[in-house]
Order: sequence, then C-alpha cells, then structure tokens
Amino acid sequence: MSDPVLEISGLEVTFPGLVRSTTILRSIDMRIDAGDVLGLVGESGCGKSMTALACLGMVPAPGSVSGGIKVDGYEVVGRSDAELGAVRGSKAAMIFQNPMRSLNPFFSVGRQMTEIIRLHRSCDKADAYMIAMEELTSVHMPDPDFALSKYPHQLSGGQIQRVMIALALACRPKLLIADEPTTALDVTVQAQIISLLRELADKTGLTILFITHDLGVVSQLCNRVAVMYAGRIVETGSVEDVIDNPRHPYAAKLMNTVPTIGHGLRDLDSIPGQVPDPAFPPPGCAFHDRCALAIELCSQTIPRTKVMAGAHEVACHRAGDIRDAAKVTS
Amino acid sequence: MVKYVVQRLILMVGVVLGVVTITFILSRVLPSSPAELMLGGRPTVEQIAAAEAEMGLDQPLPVQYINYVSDLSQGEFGRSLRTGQPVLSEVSDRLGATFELTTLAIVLVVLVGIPLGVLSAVRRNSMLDNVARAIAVGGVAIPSFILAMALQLIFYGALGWLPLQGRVAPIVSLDSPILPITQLYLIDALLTGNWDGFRDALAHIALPLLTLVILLLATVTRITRNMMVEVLKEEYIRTAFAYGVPKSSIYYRHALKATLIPMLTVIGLTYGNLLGGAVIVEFIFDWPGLGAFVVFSIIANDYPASLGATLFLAGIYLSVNLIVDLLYFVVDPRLRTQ
Repeated sequence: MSDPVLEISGLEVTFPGLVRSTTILRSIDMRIDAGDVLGLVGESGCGKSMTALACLGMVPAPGSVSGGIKVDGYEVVGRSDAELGAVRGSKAAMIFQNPMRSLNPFFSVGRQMTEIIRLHRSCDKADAYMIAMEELTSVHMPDPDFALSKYPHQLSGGQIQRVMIALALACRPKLLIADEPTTALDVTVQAQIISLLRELADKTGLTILFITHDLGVVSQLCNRVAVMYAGRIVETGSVEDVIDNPRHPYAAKLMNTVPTIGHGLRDLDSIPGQVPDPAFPPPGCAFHDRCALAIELCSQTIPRTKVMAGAHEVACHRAGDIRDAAKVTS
Repeated sequence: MVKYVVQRLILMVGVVLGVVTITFILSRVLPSSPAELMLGGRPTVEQIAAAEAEMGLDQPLPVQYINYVSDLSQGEFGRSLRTGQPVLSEVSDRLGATFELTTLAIVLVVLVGIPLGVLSAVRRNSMLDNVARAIAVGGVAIPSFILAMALQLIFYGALGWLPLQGRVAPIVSLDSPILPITQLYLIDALLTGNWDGFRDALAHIALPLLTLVILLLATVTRITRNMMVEVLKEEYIRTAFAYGVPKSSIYYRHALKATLIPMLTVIGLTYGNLLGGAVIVEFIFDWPGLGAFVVFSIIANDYPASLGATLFLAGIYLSVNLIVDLLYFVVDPRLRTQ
C-alpha cells in the first residue's frame, strides 16, 4: 500500500489563556490515502477548520501544536514558516469558505494567480499566465482571459471559487484542503462547485480533505467520512458505513436520527443541550451529557477508538450496543 | 472620475471663498489702524484720513469686502503695509522655504514612519512595538516649541554641531551664494554644484526638520501599525500565507497596499497640520517661510500680507488633499472600475 497523502497522529492544539489553557484539538488521528475524498463533518467550533490550518502549519499564534502531521511524507509540526514554504501550495493547497474575501481586492486575479504559480512552478510570467489559463479552463471558467484581467470584486462568489480551485490545482498539490468551500455560495452555485470537485477527483484522482457541516454534500462528494465533536474525531469510515450505519450516538444524531435499543428510531430536528465549552470539557466522553445512551462509564472515562468492521472506527463505549439499531432507518 | 474632479474643484472654490471671508472679517475687527501703520512715524489726523480714503478703508465693510474679492479674482493681492512690496512677490519668495521644509518633513515621515509601523504591527507587543508606542505618546504630548528649543539647546548650545537658526549663513551667501532656481535651496545648490551652499543649507534645515519629523513620526507610525494589524487579519492575507507567499511580500506588498488608502488620508491631513505647525517652528528657527511671515504680518496688523499668506496656505492644503483624493483612484481598483 502506498504512503498516505495525509497522516495525522495524536494531534493536539492548545491555546494558552490567562487563567487556563484551552485545548481545541485532542488526540486527532486521521489518514487520507491517495485518491480519497474525505469529508470532515461537525458543528461549527468543533475544530474542523483548525485541523485544516494545522495541516499547513498555520495554527494562529499563540496556539501550540503537538503530535504529528505528515503531508505527503513531510512532517509539518515544528517547522518554521520558511520550511513550510515547501508544503503550502506545493504539497497541500487550500480553498476557503468565503471566496469573495479570499483574494486581495487590490490586485487583479491574473496578478495574484501568476505570483503564486511562479512560486511553485518556477517559471516566468508568460508561462505562469498560460498555466493559469489552462487551469481556469479545466475548472470550466467561461472566458479565462477575461477573468484574469479582472479584480476580485468584479467576479461572482462562484467564479472566484473556481479561480481558487484553479489556483490550487495550478500548484500541483498532492492534497486539496477545502474548508467549507460552498457554505457562502448560492445553492445552485454550490451544486456546480461540488460537481466540479467530484469531476476533478474522478478524472485526475485528486485527493481531497473536504470540510463541511452539510451531510448531503458529503454523500455526493466523498468516499470517506470523519465525524468530529468537541475537538475529537468520534467516528471514521466509508460514506456508506457512517451515513447509513452510524455507530456513534453523535454521528447518528447528526444524521438526524436517534438510535434507541430495540425500539427502532424516531426523527429528531435537533440535539438537546449544548456543545461543551472547550475551556471546560466535561470528564469522560465530551458528548455524554447530550447522549440518550450514556451510562455511568461515559462520564468517567474517555472512550478509546475501536475498529468496528474494516475501516469503520468509533470512539464510544456503547458503539457495540447500537450495532443494528441505525440500520432500521435506512 | 472627471465628474468627481469637477465636483471637487467647485467645492474647493467654495472653501477658498470661505477662508477669504473669515480672514477678511478677522483682519477688520482687530482694533488698529492699518493706515497709521502704512504711513509710519507720527502722522496727523488729516494724513490718516487721506490714507484711509486712498486705501478704501473709509468705505462700509461690505463694500471693502467686495472690492477685496474682486481684486483677488484678478490676482491682485495688494501691497504689504510693512514693506510696500506686492504681497504676491513677498509670499512667493517665502513659499519656497516653507515648501522645502514641510515637503522634506512629510517625505521623511512617510519613508521612516510607514516601515516602522509595519514592523511594529508584524512584531506586535515586542520591544520595538513598545518603544514605538512610548515615543508616539511622547511625540504627541510634547508641544512643538518646547521640542524646538530643546533641540536648539542640545545641538547648538551644548554640542555646537548645528546652527541656531536661519536658512543659510550670511558668510555662505556672500562667498558661495545659492542661485535661486526653484527656491528650494537644497535642490538649487545641487543643481548648480554649490557644495558649500548645500552643506550649509542642510545644516540649517536639520533642526527645524527634525522638530517636525519627531512631532509627526509618532502619529504616522502608530496609525500605520494599527491599520496593518487590521489588514493582517483579512482572509486574503491568510490565502497568501497558505500558498507560501514570502512574508516580506505579504507585508510590504499585499498588506501595505490595503493600508495605503487610509494612510493617504492621514498623510494629507498631516500635511495640513504641518503647514499650521510649521508656523511656530519657522518662528523659533527664524526660518524665512510663510508661517513666520504670517506671524509677523498678524502682529504688525499688515492685513493684506496676512490675508494673502493665509490664502496661499489654504490653497496648498486644499491642493494636497485633492491630490490625495485622486490618488485613491490610482490605489483602489474598486473605485477605478466602478
């Protein structure tokens, strides 16, 4: 088996505070193989974006990072900005949630694209311009020449997101990190961007870490899913496993269903309670006080990640007990 | 954009008219007799009355005002009561001195203050940032006349490195006089290859220049720093970082361009402060500029001279700010491409 494109092991991200420090990410393990499209799902504030930033060594100061993050075999944690120049763009390229604010309003699209392309492809301006044209064509940008001559405010959000994808591809990265790239877009444009990413993954075997809170998008785009809750990954597996047969009560609730042993399922609109304050995490499983299936053990011990079947991993004391319950709904 | 410029020019005329009106009223309510001043000595009542009639001062104020404005519109600023010279030539002689001092000051402030501000922003709460902050508070808190005299005491009194005041030493203007071409002595001396003159002019401008730079540097540095801190939070800066754009390029190209627009406004306004602030500094350093000229004219109630000089200062200020507004179009594509 080939080396993974992204391998995260025991990642912790902590921000020091005046009184006490706040740990945003806790013992994250994650692996993305070449050609995989992994959906990282969770509520806002659960640490999805921080995980993405950590992959580029961009955890904002004064956050401290421990553990390991290997992008295409290159260890990111503990590297200086200068050393990370070899990763940012070249090995992993990122597209962002808010396309309208992702490009500098004071420089033309062409100038920004060629500047970055020249950094990663060591070519002259004319070649960089040609590369930009090619990549814009490959993301189905109508009239690439026109787009390159424009300033960001003259393009729409969907167009700029295409520009961002083209820019990312132009750097020939091993991994595309997409941090909620469709959240700020209209629904129809959202669908276009998703199908574009699907097409790129199918055609070119692009490896994608796709961050979202939208499970519908995950089932359209991804082949694997990781569910995150309060800074931990609680469930990982194939799309079929996790969406059709969730084993973690939080994942199950995210799928808008609640598993109850022996009584089938009923639909729920929301999960009761609130996401715990990361500065004051509850003892045991972070989800236990919102969980209908919680037992005493849940409030005492943090559950270890257990392999259920194949690559389906769950961190829940009761994962075994809800084995068949979720199947009922699907 | 042409429409915008025309609008601004019309507005400028309005502002100039306002300045004319206010300075006119101020000069006429001052209790003194310009005619007496012009005549000098101990004139008789009849002589004063005759002079007032000749100068139009016996007319009612509104008539005087209309006469004054119509003279101005023909470029006629009148004659100085003190020297009897046309105000226009008096003012343009001194304009060069003020222009040289203030422009050099603003250029230095921009060249030093902006990079210092960027550094303070990049190294937030570092030693450099804290020192810059302390100097900023000091620079704003010290009155210009105290600072000017302190510098005189140190560099002239204690060290004897620099001349006390003036624009050029009398001996230099005899031995190697600076030929006036642009009225900016440093440039004129350079153009004519007059090295003695250049050195002397530089030594003379050093202290007044230093005073103005210290007074303004702090403000420009702190404002640049704070703008920069805000810009560095922008998502497009994060994009640049995420694609490995070198830090120097991010700070001095990507981020600085965004801070340039608010900075232009600040620099325009600072230039205005400079013209006003230069009055005191010119006075203390006996710098033969417009500022000192205005002070002497007001003290002597030489109203044609003070009015004329004030108008020139207002004109410079308005022009600088018009240029600043037009530069927005150069810097900000969002304005240019609407």
